[in-house]
Amino acid sequence: MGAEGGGCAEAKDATSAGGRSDVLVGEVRTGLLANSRALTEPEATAVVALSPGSQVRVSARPVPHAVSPGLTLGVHCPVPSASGTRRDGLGTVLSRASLTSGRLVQASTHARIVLGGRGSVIEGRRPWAHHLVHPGTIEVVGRLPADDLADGFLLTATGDGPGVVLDLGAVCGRLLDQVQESPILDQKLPFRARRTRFRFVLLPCRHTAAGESFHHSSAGDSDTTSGSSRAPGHVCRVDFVVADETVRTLRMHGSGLSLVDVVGLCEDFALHDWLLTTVQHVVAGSRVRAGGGGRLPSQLKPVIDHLLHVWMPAARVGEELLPVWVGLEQRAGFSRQWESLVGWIRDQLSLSLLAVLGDGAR
Amino acid sequence: MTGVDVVFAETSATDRTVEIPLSHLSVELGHLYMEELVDGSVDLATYFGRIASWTGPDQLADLARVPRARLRASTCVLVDDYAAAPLGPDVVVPRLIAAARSAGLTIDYIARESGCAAPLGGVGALAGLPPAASLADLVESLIVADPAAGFNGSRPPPHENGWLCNGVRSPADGARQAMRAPVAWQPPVENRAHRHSIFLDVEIWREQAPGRLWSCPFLATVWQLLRLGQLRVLGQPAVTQVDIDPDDLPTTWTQFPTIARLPGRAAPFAAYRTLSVLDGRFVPVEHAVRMTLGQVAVDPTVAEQTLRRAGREKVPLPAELPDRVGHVFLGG
Repeated sequence: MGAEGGGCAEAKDATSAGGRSDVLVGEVRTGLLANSRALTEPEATAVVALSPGSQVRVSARPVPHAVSPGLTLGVHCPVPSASGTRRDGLGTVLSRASLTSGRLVQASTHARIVLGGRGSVIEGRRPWAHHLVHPGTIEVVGRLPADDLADGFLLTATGDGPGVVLDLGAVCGRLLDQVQESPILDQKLPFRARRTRFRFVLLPCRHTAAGESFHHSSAGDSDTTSGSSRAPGHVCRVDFVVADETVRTLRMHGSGLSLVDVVGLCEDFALHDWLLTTVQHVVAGSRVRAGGGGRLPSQLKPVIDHLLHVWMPAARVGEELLPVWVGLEQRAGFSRQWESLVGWIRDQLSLSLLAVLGDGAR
Repeated sequence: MTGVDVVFAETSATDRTVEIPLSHLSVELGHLYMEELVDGSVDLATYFGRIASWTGPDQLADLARVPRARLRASTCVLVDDYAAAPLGPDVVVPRLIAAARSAGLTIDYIARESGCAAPLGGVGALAGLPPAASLADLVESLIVADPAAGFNGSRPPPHENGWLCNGVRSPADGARQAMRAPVAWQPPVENRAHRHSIFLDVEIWREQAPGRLWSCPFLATVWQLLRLGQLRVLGQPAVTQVDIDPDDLPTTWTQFPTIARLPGRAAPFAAYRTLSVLDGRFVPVEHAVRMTLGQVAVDPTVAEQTLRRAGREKVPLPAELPDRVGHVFLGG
């Protein structure tokens, strides 16, 4: 399904003009925390305190949320390409883990891949310290169309075995495992739920001039700060695909966006997609077995206990990216589907209460 | 829509990272091994005299890249007390101060190397560090190793058991397969070598009861990061300077602050850039320091704050940490 917003006209591919362009690629994995009850805020903070000395960001509203510090990993390997073109990238990927409501765990890994245009091949290799100044950036030597990279990244499953191409899935999966193996957790899952993989890319808007990119540079990008204010960012196209039961892909075109916000949006989106997928799965299972004298299907109880209150779409999504949520809501009907599922669960609950009352009256 | 811009923020949701005062230049006035202080083999007055000829105000302003009138520079000495400390602060500190003064130099700060390996205490435990964690542990956790070609993230990064290098090691003999002809020797390769490799493999620590023994080059890296003002624990400065009275000094180094400020009008301890004036025999150590610094990823908020401030002060400042570190090596 696709949602087009902002009325942006299809135009020449930004990368075809031979300029430099950037592509943000990332993966979010979401799962149920391996603990029998919800973690308290101090426990959640301890679980995601993955980098000694660095701060865990904690927020309490509208749902408790704890985010680990960014973790940096160096990579030097070919970047994905749908056409099989081999282009080496050197730089770092950034990962972070987060806990929502003390029950859901997410790991996300991303990198901004800077593609060299014609004639802009990076001379030699810069010292490693240069790459550490821009964490989460991979510089690619040689030409590679942004769409080729994006297609290659979205279509290729990674993290399942050895390969030569950049493997964000493996980095992300290891981080999720690391959190789940925390000694603070009792390793008892309240119910079975699958992990989902959510891969995303952000490309420049198709109508932007060559060399322009989707993000605004932060103060750290240059030695001096410029006082110029930036144009507000916007998203011009979003394609969300449910590839299979556990894999989803999101392809966005945008300009002037904060990458941190885009990653945050994708994490929020992946979280809600996981909630919807998981509850849908449980409800589908209960429907098959429902009709047993008005009794509440047993598998619904953990869903009511653990998940229903976590649904808070777009709570941590910035103003510029809200239209993405709105657009997806319109096309994919996330909230409508959620409300329908929750309504069904509540009906089952009411029916079971009536049945209990009826039993008592007899 | 209400037409009202509503901003909701929770203070705990945003990082709070404290900025610390910065000089333009932190000048290290030599480094001596403890043995040399014990056996008196070095004439301290002559030693500081040679350093003084390289640390005149014009030279320092030039290195800091600011006009002399604006220059804020502080001086420091790191005492080598980590391995053994037969002499206490009450003996060493007055000697250093007097010898420097005889050469026209003022020492603003005196630090002890063991402080870089000593437990951080309360703040460290809060930050998820093991109770006995030190500044050295903190810096080790900031290392993001320079990846060898082919490293794509599918495996965990190689854990080097206390070693850090700048490339790919020569394959070990053990890799030779049984019943096959010995594999021809292959050279190590420096990442980003300029035509030819200068491969460097540095010991960071060694396991030795009752814990890790940190190497001198690694503690020197911690020392450079402290001087560059880049270390924080939960957003707070990792170390704060403590005023000391040179007439009332403790007899052991454990009672001495990690970084002590001597009385006087000292510029801030940490600085945009550092200069270390050292004997030529420290070239290998400082080579290792530069290589290690090049693989340390400090808190991006701290890195950004420093660059922004330098921009405001119109001080040219390289973004890469190794480029902020300067040396003068003296011949024999």
